[in-house]
Amino acid sequence: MAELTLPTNSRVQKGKTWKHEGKAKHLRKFEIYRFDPARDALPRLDTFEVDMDDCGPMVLDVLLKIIDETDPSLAVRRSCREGVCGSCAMNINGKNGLACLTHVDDLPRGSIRLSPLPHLEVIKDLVGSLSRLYAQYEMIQPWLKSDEAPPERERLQLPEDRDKLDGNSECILCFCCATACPSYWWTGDKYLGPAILLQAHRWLVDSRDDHTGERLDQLDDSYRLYRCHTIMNCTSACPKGLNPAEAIADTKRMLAKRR
Amino acid sequence: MSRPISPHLTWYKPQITSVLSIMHRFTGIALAAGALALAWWVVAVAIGGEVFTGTTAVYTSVIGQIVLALWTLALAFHMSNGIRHLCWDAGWGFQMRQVRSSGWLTLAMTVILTALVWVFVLLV
Amino acid sequence: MSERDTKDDDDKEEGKGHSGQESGASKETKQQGKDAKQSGQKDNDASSDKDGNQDKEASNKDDDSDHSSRKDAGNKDDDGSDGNDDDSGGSDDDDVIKVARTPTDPSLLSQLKHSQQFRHAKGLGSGRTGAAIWSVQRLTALALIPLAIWFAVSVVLLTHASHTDAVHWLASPVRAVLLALFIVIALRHAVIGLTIILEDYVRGYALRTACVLVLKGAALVIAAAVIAALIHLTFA
Ligand code: HEM
Ligand code: SF4
Ligand code: SF4
Ligand code: FES
Repeated sequence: MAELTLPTNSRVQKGKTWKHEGKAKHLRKFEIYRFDPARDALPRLDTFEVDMDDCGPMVLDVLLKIIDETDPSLAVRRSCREGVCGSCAMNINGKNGLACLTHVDDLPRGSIRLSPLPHLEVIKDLVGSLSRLYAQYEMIQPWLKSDEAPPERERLQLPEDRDKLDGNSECILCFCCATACPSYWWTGDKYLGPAILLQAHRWLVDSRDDHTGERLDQLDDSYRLYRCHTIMNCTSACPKGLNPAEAIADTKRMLAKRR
Repeated sequence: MSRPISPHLTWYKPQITSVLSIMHRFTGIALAAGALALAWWVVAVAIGGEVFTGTTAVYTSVIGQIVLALWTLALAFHMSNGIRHLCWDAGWGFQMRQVRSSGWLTLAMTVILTALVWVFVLLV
Repeated sequence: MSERDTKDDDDKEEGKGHSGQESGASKETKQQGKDAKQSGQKDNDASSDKDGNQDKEASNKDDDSDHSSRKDAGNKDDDGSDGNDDDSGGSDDDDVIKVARTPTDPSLLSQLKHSQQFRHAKGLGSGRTGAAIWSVQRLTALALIPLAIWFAVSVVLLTHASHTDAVHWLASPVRAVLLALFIVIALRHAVIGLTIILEDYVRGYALRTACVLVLKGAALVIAAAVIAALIHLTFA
């Protein structure tokens, strides 16, 4: 059976609380998932109190402040701190998003819970392993496959054909969508998930690509593509406002049309 | 395997998207189970005699009628949401705003359709 | 996953402490982008065994040439280190042996892990049945909209019917045909739906296949029973 509950080694324990010392007017509590494979047998939830008057506005600012001032062993991925690299994706109060684009003030009162993107192997703390997603990305061959001889200069494309790539090519591969998808939780070993399928679609609709048929063949599989049940968790999670579910539906329609 | 799996189902925030989706699944299963009972009724009519009276007794009992009412409720939901699915398959209604409002519309349709069936039945 | 794999990641990702953690994702992303640009356009799903890193001059269409690309297979430089052994020709197998002998080299191990996951993703290739099943499910759903409304109303009305009324109602050929259509289409629709649910939750191939067979068998029996009953009622 697919495991609908967490295995015993993944049950989250109560952790320790790092109190804020001194006075603070805008204290907020952050409950952060912790796991250090070198030391811990089980993951735990640590609580950190942070004075928001003395901290940047975003969830990522809070994490960096904790690393700088409270617990330098906290592991977080980040790079651009402006929503273009996709590194800081995590689960914030039960929904996936980018820590660097999430305003602490936009989150409801009470403590804020941060955990790694769901249903990934945890490498450390908020860092989950993305290696399977990268392998699946490689599988869809995310590059132009043209039968034309390489041109002298760039390959030409009509503006209206270029428009078809909009909504596909802005994806930053943060995997907020894939790890929000229940289907990807249960069958992610075979199902490609919304992030990869959006990228597959990006090449399907590229007017310069000559391998649309083969690409569709590759997707015509009850697991790879058709595990999508249009649950819409993906679209609801995407921090870039993209719509993987719509791209998947379009792919299904392409496959139906050619029958 | 010592590495933990990050929390998923129980930590992920339920949304109208995922809740309606799992309801579509539950009602689908319920409808399939109900179809079994309805198929049996046709067979019972053909057999007749005690088999038929026995079946009718069960189906018209209070519990039988409640189950039947729930079955029509499940059908109304599954059909409304099924139509929503078909719209998506046709490429319509993918903006999150539309997804949410069509979700609520589905719930409203479910209540209305079920009520219509039973009002019709009670009047006729 | 083997302990070795686990250890590898530990070495690679955790060794750096918090300040290095973040580089994992972005680096790999860039790496993907680079592979994407470098690799030519060959190697289709079923036959390629590694597709990044083809020589720049590689022609982009001969799908059959992936044997020649095998020699490049080992050089996926995940770690950004000196991994460029393109030219060593036929080094693929050597690399695999090297991995076995030096299980602590993190870059080779991460390479091995990546190729394992990549092969797993490709699996045995596409089943080529997704679109067919999907279309049948949508068509049956469409047909069921009117049929199910008619059926639900009739059923609720008929539960209180006397036997003579019921027989009379069912004996009409039009109704019998509609009812038979409803049962057959609903069962087809339900078998597809329930099979998809089994595929979602039952992981073992043998168990799942057994469940699907039972499901299909049961549906056939039900359909046959109802149609037999209808024929009996119409002609008796
Ligand atoms: C009344 C008209 C109906 C419509 C429009 C309809 C529509 C649909 C659609 C579109 C799906 C696919 C959902 C997806 O992609 O996940 C579906 C699934 C399903 N349907 Fe129906 N359906 C109808 C009636 C029925 C009936 C009468 C039954 C049972 C006998 C049934 C049983 C199922 C089952 C078991 C599933 C699988 C659910 C899942 O995958 O989660 N449906 N239906
Ligand atoms: S719409 Fe498809 S891909 Fe998106 S969350 Fe749902 S099942 Fe997953
Ligand atoms: S589609 Fe959106 S959520 Fe998914 S990987 Fe791309 S940017 Fe992230
Ligand atoms: S740090 Fe780059 S997306 Fe958040």
